Amino acid sequence: MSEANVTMAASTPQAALGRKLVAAAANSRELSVILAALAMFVALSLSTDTFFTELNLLNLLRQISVIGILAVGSTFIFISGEIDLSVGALLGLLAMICAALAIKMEGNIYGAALVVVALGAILSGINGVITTKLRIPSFITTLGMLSIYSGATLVLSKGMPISGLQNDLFRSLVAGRLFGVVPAQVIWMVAAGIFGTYLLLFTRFGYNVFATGGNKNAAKAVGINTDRVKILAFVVSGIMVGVTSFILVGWFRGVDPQTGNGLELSVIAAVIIGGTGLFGGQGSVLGTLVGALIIGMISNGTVLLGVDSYYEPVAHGTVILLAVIIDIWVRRQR
Amino acid sequence: MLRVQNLTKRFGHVTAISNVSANIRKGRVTALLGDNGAGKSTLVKMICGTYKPTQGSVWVNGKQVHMDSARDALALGITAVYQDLALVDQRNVIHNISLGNIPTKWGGLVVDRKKMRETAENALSYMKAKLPSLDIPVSSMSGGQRQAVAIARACASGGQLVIMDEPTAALGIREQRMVLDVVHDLRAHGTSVLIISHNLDHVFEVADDLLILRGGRVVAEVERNAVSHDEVVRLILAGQPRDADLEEEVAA
Repeated sequence: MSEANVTMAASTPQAALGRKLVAAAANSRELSVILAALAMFVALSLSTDTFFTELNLLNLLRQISVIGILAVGSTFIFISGEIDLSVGALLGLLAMICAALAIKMEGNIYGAALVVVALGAILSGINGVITTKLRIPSFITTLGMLSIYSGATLVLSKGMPISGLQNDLFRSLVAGRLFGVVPAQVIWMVAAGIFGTYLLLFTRFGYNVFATGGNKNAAKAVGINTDRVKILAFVVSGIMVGVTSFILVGWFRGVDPQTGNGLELSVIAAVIIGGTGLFGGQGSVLGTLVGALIIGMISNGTVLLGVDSYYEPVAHGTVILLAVIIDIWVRRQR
Repeated sequence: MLRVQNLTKRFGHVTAISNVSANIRKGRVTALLGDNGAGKSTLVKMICGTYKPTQGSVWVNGKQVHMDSARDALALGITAVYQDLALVDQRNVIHNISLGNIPTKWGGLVVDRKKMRETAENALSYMKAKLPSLDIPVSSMSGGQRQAVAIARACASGGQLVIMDEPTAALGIREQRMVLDVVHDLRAHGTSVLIISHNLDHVFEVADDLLILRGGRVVAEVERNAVSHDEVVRLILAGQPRDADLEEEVAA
């Protein structure tokens, strides 16, 4: 009886609508992140006079560019089912190497920039190799690397900052303003977003990242080299860290040995808030960038609302926990 | 289609499969039967490239083959549909059917989504199984529908021999029906099927040939019509049928 009803219901227009709703709900994580960001945007615009101004909005975008580019790279690692705690420390190390090399190479910062991008790819790739080939959980691998990178940065710099790198053309490329308005860092972030979206949604590698993170055994059974996919995900992230490092060096005409300290938390927050689960197999670059925007608005908002800045990490942590709780709750509903 | 000859597999001192020779014929459904520990899974894993035989050979379409991985088996047209289904839950039907075999265009720079959709539509076209949509995650589908997707992938990847391990276990009655229909559809399409099942009713419905293992050895390789339900049970449990005539046939 009920079987027959099910069969009949499956062919009514209402059922067709129901199926569309199911499909929409499956893709709604991205949508809900965007809605949350919009809500924050409206709330901050209404509650402060200073938020919704061209100057503040452009500054906000420039501030999130570093987290944004790093988070685009981390998105690949998370979707492949791994985690990376070392991006902040790697950023600091690469920025220090970039500045030191530029000085060594008599101001050839372009050469230094290329070197750190390659080095970022290699060092992050090593994280991937240790994680996959030695079967060490990436949480442990990258926690160890965090410490190694931070230490190496201090050893290399002897704790001293590098400053006064003069290269006006390079600086305008990484920190100038397009048409005198749009900060170059934002252009870099958008470019990273477009490149990341292309890789994830339009290449075989991207499909295999989803497959590897979604069901590693299934991916292996159909012949996907899941180790290589994960290592490449780490490499993509390393390239993004390298790019971010030379942007910072050009932007600040040097580097501080504290660069990148604690940044991994904001990056992870952006990725998780953006709808990329902690367990792999789903996520998007667009969601991650909106996640970075939410993180940025929290920082920006606390300043504009006159909240004690010591509360900012508390807000970040709360948002990460909320995002994870919602993620797990949504999973259980399925 | 596929022949194994004097196949033996040892794990240390344990012999899981001992001197097994058997034929899987083209365009027919062969049921692999045996109690737990009879060596069914080990045999299947050697046929689909997961295990390397200790001794013996595997022949596909008259040629001896060496398989080191599931990928090698896939290249020979042998694909397995596992009990745990091996689908990526979060992904849609289209991706799951092309899983591991994503088509690209423009020199590999861009995924050919149109071709992916066509591949899925073609693979599902001769199955009666109806899916709600090709664009929703397979996690939202029923067990039978998921089986259909997994089997469609096996066919889409050029499968000449599809191996199914307990395809009807843990499914509802209607879902089981759906899977058995898919097996019929596959045979009608000229695909060979090797099916492992404990459900003799299902076996008798879909199988053309029976291959019965006991203690790692073949105790019978017969056509379904040549044996009765009871004889099969006795073969599985005791290694011999009640009937003396058949015993000769089995020995031969």
